[in-house]
Amino acid sequence: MITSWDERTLANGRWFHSNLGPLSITLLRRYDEWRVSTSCAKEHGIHGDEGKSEDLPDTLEWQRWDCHDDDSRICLTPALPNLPVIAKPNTSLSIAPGGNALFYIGIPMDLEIHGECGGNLRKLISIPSETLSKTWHGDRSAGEVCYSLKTRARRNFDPSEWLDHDIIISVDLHNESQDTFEFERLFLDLGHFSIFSHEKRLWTNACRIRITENDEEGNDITYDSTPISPADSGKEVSPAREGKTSRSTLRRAFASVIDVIH
Amino acid sequence: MTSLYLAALPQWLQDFLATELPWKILGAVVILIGGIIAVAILSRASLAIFGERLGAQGTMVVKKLIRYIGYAFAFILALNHMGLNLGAVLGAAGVAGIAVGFAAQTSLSNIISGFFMIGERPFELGDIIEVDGIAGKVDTIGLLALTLRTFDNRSVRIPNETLVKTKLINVTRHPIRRFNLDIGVAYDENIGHVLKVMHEVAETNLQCLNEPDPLIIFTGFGDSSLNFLLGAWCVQEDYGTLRNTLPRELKERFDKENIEIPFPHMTLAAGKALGPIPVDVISEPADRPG
Repeated sequence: MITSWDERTLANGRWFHSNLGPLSITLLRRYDEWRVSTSCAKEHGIHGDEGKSEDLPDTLEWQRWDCHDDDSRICLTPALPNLPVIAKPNTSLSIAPGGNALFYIGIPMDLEIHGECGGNLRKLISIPSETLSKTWHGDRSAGEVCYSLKTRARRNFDPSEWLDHDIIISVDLHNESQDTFEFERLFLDLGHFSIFSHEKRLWTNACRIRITENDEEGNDITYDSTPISPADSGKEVSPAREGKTSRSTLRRAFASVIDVIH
Repeated sequence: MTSLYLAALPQWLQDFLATELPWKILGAVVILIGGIIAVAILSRASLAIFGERLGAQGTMVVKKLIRYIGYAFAFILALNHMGLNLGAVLGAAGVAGIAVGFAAQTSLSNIISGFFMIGERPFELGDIIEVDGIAGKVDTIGLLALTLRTFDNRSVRIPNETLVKTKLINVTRHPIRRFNLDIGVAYDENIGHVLKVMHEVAETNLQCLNEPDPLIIFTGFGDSSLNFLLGAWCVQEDYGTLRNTLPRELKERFDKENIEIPFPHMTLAAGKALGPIPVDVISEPADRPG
């Protein structure tokens, strides 16, 4: 498990290893190259977190990037998946008119590896900790591909219930319509979420969705600048991919929720 | 000064320059060059105005059309400037046009079909289409024909007329596509269990979209098997991978669940009764040597 997202150094001939959920990642600095190997966490056959290149098993398959002789800095950063996510709770929940419900949704993180190349950190690779299946958001003629996420959509936060490689998103749904809202699926565009680290867990800034009957008026997804409590004092480790925003102008994000009502 | 230069030229050239002809030739050349420039400007301007509306196919055809008509017009103007009797030329061209028209019926038909295709826009450059059983990527779209690049990298030219007359399937028009897999299992198997397993395989396949829901149905009683259809949706780019992974994953899962995929069975029967096939012994077998 990766516990620190700070920059670190890796001298020539040394390796660093960590597990990321079901995935095992090994980083090696050798022969003016950065090398990255990924394998199933149960099968890697590596002992320890760091060591000399001679200690690594020969069976590892590497991806390689050229670097300079004196480059040694690396930085690992967590990232959200590169496609929007459709989160489906295992069982739907009805939210009465005027009611609200807070959900915690865990999204398997991607790991971005940045290595020093000619003095500057350069993104080498982005590795998903879990390969999510895909789904389609839209009709059969137009729409966009998303990742599909079956979630328990927990109502409270219990640290023991979450996987190490989960990024926790809190979604606060406010039903301001006159009808009962059936929460069956939620389209989440992940571009405006930053990632924060708090007590070895990763969180995004909290978001609130207001459900109204009027589609035009109801286009309202609000992003907080920090995660929800108890992680509100978390340290930002990865900025939002599409920049920070306090309120989304993406109609589709809300429309997808509205679709469920009607 | 000029007369000094002229005096230095050969006599035949001096005589030639003294006539009107060189100036007419020069004028005609200027008209031709001006025509080429005007065609280029006109072509770009019209594409800028109509390009988006016409699409890649229409753009290409309009570009060629403007070029051919523009060049012909510039050529006629140049001839006119040279003093040629255009009335006679156009008259002769009219007669020739009728003759050529008869001879070039197919070509004209292709050109007109091309216009219909522009209006209808059933495909764009880069789309994968299937015409007359030939599938490939649309490589070029011309006035007379389009060129398809097949998946084994052959180039197939298909006249526009054929495109209008024949059934044309655009495979990549929509962003998602369904892969249909027919599969049969032994009559001993439990239909409900097979449907459940198929559903789980579709759900765990990485290319198969969760939505739209995969189509999984029992299609009927076959000669030797219970038949099922698995229709899995995927994005266009994943189609090739899905075609590879889904049947393999389904077979592996069936093996794991001991679900039998039967071979076709054939029972040979003689006559009405399903008794044993009668065998007549014609002669006693000879003793084997040794």
